Amino acid sequence: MRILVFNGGSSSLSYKIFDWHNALQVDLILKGKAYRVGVKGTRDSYVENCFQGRAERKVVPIPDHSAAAILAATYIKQNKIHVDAIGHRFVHGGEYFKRAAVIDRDNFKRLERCLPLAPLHNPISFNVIKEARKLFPRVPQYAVMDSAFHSTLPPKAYAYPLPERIIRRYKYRRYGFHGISCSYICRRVPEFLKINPRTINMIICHLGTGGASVTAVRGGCSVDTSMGASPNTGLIMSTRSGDIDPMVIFHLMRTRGYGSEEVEDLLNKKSGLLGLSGFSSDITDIIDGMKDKRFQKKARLAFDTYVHRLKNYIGSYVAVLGGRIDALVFTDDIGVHNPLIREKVCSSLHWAGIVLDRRRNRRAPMNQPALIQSSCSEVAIVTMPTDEELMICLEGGRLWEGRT
Amino acid sequence: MIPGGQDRFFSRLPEFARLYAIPYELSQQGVQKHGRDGVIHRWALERITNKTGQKFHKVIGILIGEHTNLAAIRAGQPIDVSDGFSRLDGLFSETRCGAIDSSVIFQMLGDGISGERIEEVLSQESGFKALAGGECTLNHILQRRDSKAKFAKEVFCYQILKYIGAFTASLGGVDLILFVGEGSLQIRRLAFDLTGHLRFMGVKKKAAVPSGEIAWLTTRGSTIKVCFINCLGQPAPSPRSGR
Repeated sequence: MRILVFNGGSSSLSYKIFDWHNALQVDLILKGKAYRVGVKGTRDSYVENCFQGRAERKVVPIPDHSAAAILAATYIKQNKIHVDAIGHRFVHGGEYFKRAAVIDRDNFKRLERCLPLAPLHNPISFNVIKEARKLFPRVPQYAVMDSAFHSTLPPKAYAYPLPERIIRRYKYRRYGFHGISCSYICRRVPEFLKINPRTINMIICHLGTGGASVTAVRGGCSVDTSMGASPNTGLIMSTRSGDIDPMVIFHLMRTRGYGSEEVEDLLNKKSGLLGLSGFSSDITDIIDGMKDKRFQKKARLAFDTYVHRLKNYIGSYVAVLGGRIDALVFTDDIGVHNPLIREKVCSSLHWAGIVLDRRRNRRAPMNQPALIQSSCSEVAIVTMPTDEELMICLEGGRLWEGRT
Repeated sequence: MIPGGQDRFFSRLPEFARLYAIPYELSQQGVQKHGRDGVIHRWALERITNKTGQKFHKVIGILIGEHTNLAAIRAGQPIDVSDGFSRLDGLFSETRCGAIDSSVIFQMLGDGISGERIEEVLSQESGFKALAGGECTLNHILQRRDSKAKFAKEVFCYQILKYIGAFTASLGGVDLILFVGEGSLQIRRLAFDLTGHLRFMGVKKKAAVPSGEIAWLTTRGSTIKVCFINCLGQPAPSPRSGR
């Protein structure tokens, strides 16, 4: 069975087509990505496609995610690739979706109801779903939720101490995100370390170029995670503040006359690394900036604050897991590509049995998993690229397995 | 109880621990972590140092009571603190919400609820009051036996435990964990229970809850010491000690 997977980021759209034979045998057929989707700037937007050993790159205006989906579909149809099912990543499934679901008419309506839960993310996936239904009217579609993996959180980890009427009205609880990536890690790391996936304890740092989170895994299940009811809690991200005193919001409204939208915009789009450094939301720029006299001070500050917050979360999950940890995992672009972050974070975790080997760390390859702990470390430290699209494909395979 | 509040102890927090990740100009205008009750944290640490004649390098102070907060102190200098810009941040208390996900505030504003009203909900109707209802000071919660109060206590302990882990990472290890509170048996027992969760760090708990004004909760052989100081009826520390 051929499965097309769409994975929309805030300014990109990845898509892959897999040949799914069974859960253990899946072949990648096509891989593509639209870059700088809807970004107003000096640099061009473009599409990359890789199919049958041919890689091509085309500069083309991509005003929004629907346009990106149309470009993908055109390429797929031009090359006469047949598709049996389409899978979508959907960030916030709220209370409605605790697992992957086929998008029939009812579920389509439920997805629509989830839009306000993640106003920056859900509409992107939803627009791609709408467009894909038009482009492939006969092909069944399904959605895989980024929040589903964390449905195993215990009440003490998901409860917020707010009045019950508010909890009920806004379905307010810790949901957590990056669940698709975490389930990939929970599948691959046990294989890699030869540990039973049902008993493995891990701390997973998913450090993406946009969002970032830390998750505590006990016995293969999520028990706590740094993102909360929304994806703007926890770690410092590229332009998102992460944890903040709620009083700051009222303070800004009172003293600066900001409206609700302005504050929300400030915390989501002008904060994080961008707010701290004042010159870039990109950690690579910031690490380079630490060597540049003009940016040095602010770059250093942004880097140190980022690392400090990450360290705090890892420490708290060490306590949550009672010190019984098999692996500390770094994944996604920043997690895999930045040895300096890993080195600084691990430098104050010796008390938890986490000791990094600096040479192995610096030499870790970016395209495959690697072990970077020192021989005296009690905990394995793993860098591993994530593959959300493969995970979405496997979920689809599972959905259809029982049906045909 | 010793009068707490804002003081200058935490003005020496390193910038990376003090800043929220918001535009730097706002931080410079005072939107940053100020911490609280530095005088008490300092007072407690001085008492232990004087009593034992020992200098503890890495210390986590846990002020436990009507408003609970934690501080990480290295070589006498603050490194981290749970209280933030206001008392809403950090641990929740009798009626305050503590650190939460702010998205709910924007949802409520979107529904036309005023900022003042939301602030009132978060500072006067949340915390233990929201989780357990009824009589809900920390002492009441710890005495009550109903399931809601038990759950509230569970959430509270869980959050303290997470802060202990987080601050141990801030310090790169810990030598002394110092509970400071009014010495009711319930609060002492809470500190004792929490100590039990730290065995993995090398904390060895005593067999029974000890009493006394300065009570060691760990055995002599424990590599990390845990202590409970009763601050009820203590003379107020001099204003100078906040510096």
